[in-house]
Amino acid sequence: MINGLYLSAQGAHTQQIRLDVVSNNLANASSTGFKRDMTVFESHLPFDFVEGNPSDTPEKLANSWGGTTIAEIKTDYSQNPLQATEGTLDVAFAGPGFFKVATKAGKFLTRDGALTLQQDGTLETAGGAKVLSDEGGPITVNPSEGEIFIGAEGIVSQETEGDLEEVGRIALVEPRSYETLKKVGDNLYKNLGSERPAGPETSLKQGFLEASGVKPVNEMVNLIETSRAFEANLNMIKFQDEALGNLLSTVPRL
Amino acid sequence: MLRALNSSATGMQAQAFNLDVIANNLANADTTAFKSSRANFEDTYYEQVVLPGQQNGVGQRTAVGQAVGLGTRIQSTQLDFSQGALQATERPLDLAITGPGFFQVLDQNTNQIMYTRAGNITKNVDGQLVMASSDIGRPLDPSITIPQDATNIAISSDGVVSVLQPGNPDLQQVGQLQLSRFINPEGLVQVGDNLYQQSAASGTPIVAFGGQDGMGVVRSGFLEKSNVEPVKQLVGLIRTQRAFELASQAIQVADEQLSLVANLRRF
Repeated sequence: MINGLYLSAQGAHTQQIRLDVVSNNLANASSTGFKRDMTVFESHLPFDFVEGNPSDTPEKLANSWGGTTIAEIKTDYSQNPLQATEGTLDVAFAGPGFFKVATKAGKFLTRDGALTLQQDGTLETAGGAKVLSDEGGPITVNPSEGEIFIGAEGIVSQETEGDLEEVGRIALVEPRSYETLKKVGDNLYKNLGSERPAGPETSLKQGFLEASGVKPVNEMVNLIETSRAFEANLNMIKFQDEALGNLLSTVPRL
Repeated sequence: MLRALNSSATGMQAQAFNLDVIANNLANADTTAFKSSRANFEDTYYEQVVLPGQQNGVGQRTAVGQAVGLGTRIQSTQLDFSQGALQATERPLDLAITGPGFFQVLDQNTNQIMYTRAGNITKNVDGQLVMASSDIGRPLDPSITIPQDATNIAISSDGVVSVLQPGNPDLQQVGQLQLSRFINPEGLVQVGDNLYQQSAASGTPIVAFGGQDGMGVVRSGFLEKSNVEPVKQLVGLIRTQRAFELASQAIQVADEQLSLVANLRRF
């Protein structure tokens, strides 16, 4: 009976984390290029009554046998809808891939293509990270020359005295494994593994931004599910508590 | 559990901020040469619940970690400097710039040069060309003075101001409008009154005359309208409202869960 209480508590606990994830998704319904997170549940190995027992008073619920636990919080990296902005320096990814950017804290990946220029002409994200070229350095345009064009393959060119001149090529990269990407906030990802140049299916679209990948309907369904599953688990706790209480009150006192 | 409450609150806060931006855009739908802003959103921090590679209850190492995001925030409000439509006014002192340039005006309160694209210019009592504003007439910089006896004013596309004076059939040049542009106009500080101020982000102005150095040309007899597109703003308004509502739903669920926990046992 006591073990059942733990199992229900675990169920409620995992639903809470799921609610955290859903809340963060909904909060980021407007974040540029945001990729939604999903909670993946797994069942713990069941408590083995025959072979003996890991303690039923575990130090941590997560270590308790049986019940459920969160296996991972997975990010859905599928393409988000594009939103036309007509901004010269708004660039969106069509297909997989990331910009490689550098901040004081190191190198990161991002799909946030709301770019701006530093006063010396360096291309930056609106969040202030330098966009890196395929040679690894920053991309700098001439502050006193004309319009900037960004091609599908990441080639940045600038109108100079009536001609288009290439000033650099934005590095379009893809992680070798998406499992090594870690969200660090500010629309940035830290890649704990390595990258390779993005393939032919990746292209940039100037004048567009990638909208958030949060799908309100899915998240609302998640919200309802998580809320009800949480409730059900709590009801189970209540029920077991009552049952225990009844048992204790009916045991004849010696 | 309270993570959900907090991160939903950040969502509502950021959407409320977005609403402020959209409301200001819509309020300025008729402001001369107004440039609309948009709010960029970004995710905040991620709390690492389980580090990748941590051992789980059955001694296996997790392949990936568990990170829970803690909400959203406004990354920046970005100005959209796309050209506004030109409206013909047929008044010679109504000026519009087609291109990225700005007019330079001197703010006499601060003795600072400010930048504007609102070209509804008038003369003050001394004949100086000033930018019309509700509280103060800021003269153009460098200043241009129209002689008291001038009967007609003409402004060419490169900004040369000429006047016609009685007894003289030829146009007399009295000055030329100087324009500036910035490598990063989005880094300008908006100070109201249709004015922008240089900042460390905008860079120093590139100064030239109309038609030079990619400045664009001056069109006399036209005003640049606001580049606010009402349809786009209204779509943004709807999205903002719904995103706000969605975040509030998540708060409600978190609240209900807390209440369920609080009422789990009555003593």
